[in-house]
Amino acid sequence: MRIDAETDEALVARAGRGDRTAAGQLILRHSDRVMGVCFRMLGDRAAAEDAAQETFLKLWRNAAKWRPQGAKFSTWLYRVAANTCLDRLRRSGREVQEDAAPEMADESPHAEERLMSADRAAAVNEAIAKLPERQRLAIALCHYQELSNIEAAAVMETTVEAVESLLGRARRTLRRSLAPVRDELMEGGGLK
Amino acid sequence: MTSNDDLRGAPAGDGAAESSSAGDSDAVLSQILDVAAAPAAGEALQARMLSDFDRVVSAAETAGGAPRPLQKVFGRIVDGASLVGRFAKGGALALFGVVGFMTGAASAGGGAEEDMAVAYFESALAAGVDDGLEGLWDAE
Repeated sequence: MRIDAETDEALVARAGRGDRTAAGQLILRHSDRVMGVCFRMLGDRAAAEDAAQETFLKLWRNAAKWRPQGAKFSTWLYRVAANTCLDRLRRSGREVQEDAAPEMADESPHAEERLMSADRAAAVNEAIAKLPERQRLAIALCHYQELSNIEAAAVMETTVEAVESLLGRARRTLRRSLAPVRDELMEGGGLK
Repeated sequence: MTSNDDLRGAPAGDGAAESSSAGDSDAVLSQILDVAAAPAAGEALQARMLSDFDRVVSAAETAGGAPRPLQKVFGRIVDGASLVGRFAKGGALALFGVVGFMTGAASAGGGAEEDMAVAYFESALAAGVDDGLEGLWDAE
């Protein structure tokens, strides 16, 4: 059997027996996605790299005893990544509590100036970073990682309805916060 | 990146009233979000992850039983004991065979046979335990 045709679960089992090739394959398959979740949650590349590395370290430590128990491996890995990020946010005191974030537009004069410097991605990232952590995670999983609401609910250990609610509030907040710069973003990204 | 219909096509919930076309608004938002792609893990990070794996495996081997160096030493002790056992067994068999041959030769009463027995005995000792044993059976 070719290694790239193996399931994640089979690779984890082999990695748990010390198979370095299987571990490397898991890294190739999932490190970008884990990095993506961590970056959305922490908003900083260096911090995201540390969190992604810690996520995989937890994987290696648990690989030998990991059992599917009905959950996909990727769901479990995303959950570990999300919890790792939430722990880091809480330790650093940077977390934004649910209901604590104002759903207000960023109408400061600096908003458009930032776009003038062509740092459109930074403007979007900043808007995402201002979301409460659960809303941010919902956006990271459903939009950027393309998980279904059902999969996201499994990762977040909540209900589908809760995920839909989080997404709805996140979208509303993002629409408002990005409204002043929407046209520039659309033009700058060639989206019009 | 934005093929998730749950995000793009789903009703906007409590935010729907603020837009005349929530679905269209969500589609625009999705396009805007796509402007900000997350960085990839990169080879350096992947190498660190693999290095972590090596350390975890190495630590598990150490904690899961006798560390490798001790296992090697222990293995050599076992090998040594086995060798001594084999040597003793071979020596005992050789001595048993020589004594038996000499007894048989003496009972036959011939001087020539006695000389042959002594010669075989000496050659068996000289050839060593294992080789001597084989030679002894051949001689008999």
